[in-house]
Amino acid sequence: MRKIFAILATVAMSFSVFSGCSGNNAQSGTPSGASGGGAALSAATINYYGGWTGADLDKMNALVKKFNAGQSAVQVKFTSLQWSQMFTKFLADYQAGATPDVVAMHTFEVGQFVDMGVLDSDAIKNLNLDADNYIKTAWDGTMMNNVQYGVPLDVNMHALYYNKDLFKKAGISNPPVNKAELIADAQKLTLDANGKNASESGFDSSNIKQYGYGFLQNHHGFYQIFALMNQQGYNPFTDSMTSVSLDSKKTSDAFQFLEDLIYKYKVTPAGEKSPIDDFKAGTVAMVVDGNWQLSGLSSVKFAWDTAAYPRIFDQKAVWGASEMLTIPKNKDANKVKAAQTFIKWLSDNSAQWALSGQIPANLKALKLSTKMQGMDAYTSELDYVKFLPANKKSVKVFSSSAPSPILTAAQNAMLNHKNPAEITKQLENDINKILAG
Amino acid sequence: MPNTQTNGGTAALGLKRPKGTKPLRGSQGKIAVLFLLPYLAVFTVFRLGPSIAGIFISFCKWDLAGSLSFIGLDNFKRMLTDSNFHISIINTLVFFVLTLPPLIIFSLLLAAFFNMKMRGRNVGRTVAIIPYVLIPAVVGIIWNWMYDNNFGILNYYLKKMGGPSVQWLTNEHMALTSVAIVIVWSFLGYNTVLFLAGLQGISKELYEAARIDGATRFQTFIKITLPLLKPTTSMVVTLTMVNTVQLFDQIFVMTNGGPGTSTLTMVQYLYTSAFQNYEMGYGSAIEVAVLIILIIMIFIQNKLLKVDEEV
Repeated sequence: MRKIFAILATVAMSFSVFSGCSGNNAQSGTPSGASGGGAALSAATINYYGGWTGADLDKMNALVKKFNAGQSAVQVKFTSLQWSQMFTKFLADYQAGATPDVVAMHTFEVGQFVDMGVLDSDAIKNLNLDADNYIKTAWDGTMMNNVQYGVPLDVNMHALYYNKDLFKKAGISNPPVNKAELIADAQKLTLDANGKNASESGFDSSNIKQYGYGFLQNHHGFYQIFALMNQQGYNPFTDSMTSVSLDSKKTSDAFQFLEDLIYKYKVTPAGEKSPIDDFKAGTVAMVVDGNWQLSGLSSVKFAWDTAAYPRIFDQKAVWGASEMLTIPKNKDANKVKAAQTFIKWLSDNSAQWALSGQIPANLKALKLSTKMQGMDAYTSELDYVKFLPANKKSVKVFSSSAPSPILTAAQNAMLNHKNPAEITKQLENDINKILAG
Repeated sequence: MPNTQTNGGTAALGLKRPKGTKPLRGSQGKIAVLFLLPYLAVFTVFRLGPSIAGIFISFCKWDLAGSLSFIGLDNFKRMLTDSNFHISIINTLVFFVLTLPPLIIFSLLLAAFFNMKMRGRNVGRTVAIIPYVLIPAVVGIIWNWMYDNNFGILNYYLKKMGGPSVQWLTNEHMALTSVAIVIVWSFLGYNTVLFLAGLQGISKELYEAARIDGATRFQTFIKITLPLLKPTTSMVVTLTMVNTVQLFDQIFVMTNGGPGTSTLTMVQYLYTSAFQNYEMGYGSAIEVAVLIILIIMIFIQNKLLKVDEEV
């Protein structure tokens, strides 16, 4: 009896470990609600979920405040968490019959939510928006199977930040535009403790004080691989893909380029955790990062600017993404109307959103937006920015957490210096396992 | 009035009721139950209930948005061929092996040290517990910066001493060990406090008798201290096992399961499956697997330590 009690106590203690991860016995989801038309809007308070946690959160908070202050018919309660936590909250609330009324998401994430059947395309259609008023790539990104599921809010992508003071010291007048210039400039800008640069003999690669080129070595590392594949005219990822067959040479060449920057030319620190912080500290002369970093550079003490992502291969291409506003299915037609009102206002007034460093997808707002220092390089890339597909398994394939295939591939190249052909093969296998599952 | 004199200091810490004492009955028993009720209520509603629900969900397919659909053992069958799941089991067990010995041995030695009469021992005891009370995510962020390959303080001093830079969190062979170091640092103080309580419950008369008999300090430690500390040791080992197997915050912040899958533990994989891939059924199945592994480990540990539970 005593032993049974002891075992039960042990089991009970073990249970206590995992209760936080258990799902609830959930109720069925809220049925699809009516959208648009009919009776006039009555006063409503709606919930708006976003995933911004940095400086752009303040800008979105200010926009919501402005909307609430400008009228009394619709009041918005804004909640922002880290993206993946926000989506979990969204789905849990949806399951509990308390769905938020507006949910922001990236275009490549829309596929999974469409597959779950939680988004209201009719509510978006009834907004009667004009595609000509929006950046084409962003507009197209809101579509799945020619049905629109959201309103594009902004576009963001990679570009090159460069330290003009360090460039001047190294005798470089312009930022690099192609592979040869990038490697040459990065070598001149990579200095050891004795002041020798990476192209000089006697350069001590075990004692580098300043690096020439930096970039994130997580899933953003793969985003560069994606860009480099597109620069070779090659993109195997589509909205409807059920399997992929990677071109071994083109994909390997993309991995090899980033590996060479770290291990052959020694111009990029291996395992770099925060390139933008290294850039601000003056320890890295050029970094690849997104326009969301622009608003955080106002306190930097040196002269800096941005340039388009260099063309390493044959064509211009750069990774990008777009944030969009969606309306979950909702029985309450008045709340849907209120959500539509807010989304239309936010889209038309997104010029202020540009202060966060984002590029408004609404063309009128883009024209009116105050151009932040460094924004020009990003807007110059709008014609050739490439988005990840909105496949229903995109979130699993292009996940930023282990055991994501793209994260494993990127880190095998940049951190573990593995053979690019083997990385390509494993990437293909891992992606196909997810697509087949 | 029952005899509440402790024997080996184990009454408050282990499962063993001291010799010569009786179980609480009558009004004292009722009072004890009343004090336990709030905890049991919270435990049942927020821990036990959801855990049992989780076991049920492990036999279902559920993406959190729609309805559950019963699929029998499919989630468990999937585990048999899921290489990421196998990797997570290995990583969890390796992590456990890396952390358990130092968390037991060092904390016991530290407790023995703090048990000695000396100036400043109270300050030392307080300082020892500080890492444990820090928020785990904050610990992860701070160590992240300390471990930075190029600008972190550890590599800075290593280079100053003429040594090579270490890729603490970015080398797939090193990352798990680096996280283990942080966990040992975090939990050492907590285990020390538990061992200290156990040591202070051991009757001084036993040590006096041993001294009179001519026993050395080492013999006293081996023949008296360690055996009488067995229930405490058993409890500390059990708690350490649970804490290391369930570890999430520090790994999530420091490595997020990477580089590659080198720090992907079972709980990390459970989180990714359930809350990022929205495969609640599969995540719950992983939860069940963790539970089974933990029960087996605790059972083996109890057998090995042969703790006699006289309740």
